[in-house]
Amino acid sequence: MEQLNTAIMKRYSKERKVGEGTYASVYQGHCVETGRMVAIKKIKIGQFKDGLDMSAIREVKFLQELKHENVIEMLDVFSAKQNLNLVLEFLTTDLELIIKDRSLIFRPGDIKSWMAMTLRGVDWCHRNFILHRDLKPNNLLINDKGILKVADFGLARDVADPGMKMTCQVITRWYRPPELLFGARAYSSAVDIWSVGCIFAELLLRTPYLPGENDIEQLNTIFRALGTPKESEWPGHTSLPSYIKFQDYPKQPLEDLFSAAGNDAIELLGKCLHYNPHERISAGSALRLPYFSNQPKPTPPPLLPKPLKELEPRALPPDAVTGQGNNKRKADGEQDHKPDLRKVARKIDFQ
Amino acid sequence: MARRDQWIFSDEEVLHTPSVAAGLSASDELRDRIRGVNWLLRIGVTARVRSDSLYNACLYFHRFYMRKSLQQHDVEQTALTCLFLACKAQDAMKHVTQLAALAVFKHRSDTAKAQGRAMRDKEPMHIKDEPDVVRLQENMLSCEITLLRTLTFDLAVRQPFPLIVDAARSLQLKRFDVVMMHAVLNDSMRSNIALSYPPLVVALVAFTLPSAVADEAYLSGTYRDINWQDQRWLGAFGVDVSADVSDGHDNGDQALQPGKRSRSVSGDGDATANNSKRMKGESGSGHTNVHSSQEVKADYTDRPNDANNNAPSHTPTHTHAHHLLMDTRDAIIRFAMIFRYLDRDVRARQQANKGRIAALLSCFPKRHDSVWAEDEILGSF
Repeated sequence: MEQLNTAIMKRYSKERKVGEGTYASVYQGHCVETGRMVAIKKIKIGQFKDGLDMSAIREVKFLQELKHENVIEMLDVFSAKQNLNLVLEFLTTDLELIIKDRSLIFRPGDIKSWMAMTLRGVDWCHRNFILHRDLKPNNLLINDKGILKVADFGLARDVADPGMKMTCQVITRWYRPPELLFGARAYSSAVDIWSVGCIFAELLLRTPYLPGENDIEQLNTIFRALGTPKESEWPGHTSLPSYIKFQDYPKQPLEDLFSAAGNDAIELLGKCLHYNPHERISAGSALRLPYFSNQPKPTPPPLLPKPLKELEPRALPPDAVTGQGNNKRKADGEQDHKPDLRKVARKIDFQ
Repeated sequence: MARRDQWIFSDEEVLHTPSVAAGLSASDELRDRIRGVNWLLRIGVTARVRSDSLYNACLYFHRFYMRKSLQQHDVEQTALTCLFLACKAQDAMKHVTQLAALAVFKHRSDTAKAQGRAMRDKEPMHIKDEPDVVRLQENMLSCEITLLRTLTFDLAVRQPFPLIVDAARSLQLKRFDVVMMHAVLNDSMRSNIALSYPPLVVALVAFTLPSAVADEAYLSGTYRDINWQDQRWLGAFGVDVSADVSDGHDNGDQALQPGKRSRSVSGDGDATANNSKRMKGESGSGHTNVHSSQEVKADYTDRPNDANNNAPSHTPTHTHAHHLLMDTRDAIIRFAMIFRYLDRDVRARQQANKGRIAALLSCFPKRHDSVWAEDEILGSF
């Protein structure tokens, strides 16, 4: 095994550092043999009281299992000294950078193409009984051929047995579904679909759709945009652990805000942002909606808009020392590399 | 990248482990493995580790010693590290300090008991800063990396238990039947059958063996009435038993129905049903089948000493079900090998069950070239 490990290690060269976080550094490198560019995620160990960080364990475990065109590929794993190194395919940009690049113009077919690739990646995870739990534009990486890949499985987990308690502190706040904000401890693949809905809206609007400043404000933002849910619409939500009553906002038709989107796009958006998680659409069914078969056809990936500038060193989300409840900081980490938000985010809200 | 089937070993490999190569006898190896698993389960149960993590931990342990020798890697420390890693990989972390303190505490209380004196410390966590605990903790953390490397970072394990739960439900068995099966599954972790057979065969062992080892009073009438000779009960596991004969190339294609119970999260209906259950926080025996039967099938066909390689050429007309049952028979025999290492009273109980075990085995087809000497093993406990 040691020889095998050394052999794998020798297969790759580590070049410049492209990212740094508390639990890992990312390097750009090459496969010596093939010249293929790779990203090497070096997990720091020995810093944590409990050995290897749980996010690293999750990432290794799930990426070993998942092989799909729209999921980031782990090419190898090796350990060097007291470090764990994940060799990942090198991806040049991410959807967040593309959305933010104001010089790019999105055609309807472009958005459809990104959505289809996202949903295919998410569908593959769900078919393999894996919840991603941190979908956001920043975690949808894109390679030089325009192919989008779901990445960062540091918060992923197996679909649990019904009734098993899981932490509700997952998913970056703006993409977090209402059931988690209300403290649901048992949830399903539907949580990822809500995030996909938010990403879709963000692609259409070119700005985050539901940017709440804290957890309470997040719910308020959601309800202001989509109407406060009635018991009939989402049975049982009033008995969730952290349920609180909100102002009664009326339901506004999605068409009003997304005036440029066609009816088929509105249908997809509405089904992803459905309040009742039991009725929220699955990734597989979403891909079969008319939106994806109607004109215009999804843009072929190589023809999708891509940013002119190189991928900047990407701040990695800082990681908590313990496994439990380490996800809140992920949302906080989000603010860390969005300094423009930090001020408002720290504001205390007495809703 | 690790191959999917790197963890299914041939009989040859199971008999010639690194420890045996380094001079340990096969029976000593089995004894040491059982000691390690017992230690793992004892600490794990005290630390309230979930049963899925316990199962994975035991499997990591057995896999580790297919690549490393018992002589070079301390059994208890490895067992403890497997437990630690499995909890982490199952998203149910236990702190290294807690496990290390518990292990040292148990050792001390064993010694104290043996010497007939009272324990000085009352709580494991009271001793967490003592040198013994700190040392063990450091050893566990460095062992973690060795373990990960040896397992080639392949941590996902397919569990047999969800298969059992699904089958029991479709046959409308009682809760206690399933409890008995779970108990057999727990005991099976001491044996190394999961190194040789896919989760489906391990599930079949746990499913059938209660009929031979459990007190009949605890078993439901429905379960006791299952006719093991009639392969139809295998249908509950999604195995197609309608075709009597298939062609010689038993690739399992038609032999296993693509999971009648496979719960694709992508299917709308399924997802909804599962969701509603979860949202209401309904507990009970409902388990989500982590892997679809399609995968089980693929896994099964991957087995190196599968029918294609091992079946004598003059019997080319066995069904997939037939091969499954031959493997189940072998696996039960290998499971029975651990009995003679168990405590005396447990052994005595199994002794009494010998006739029932033999009767159950006779319901299953026998592999002609099996390397596991059935009569000898049954006679040994």
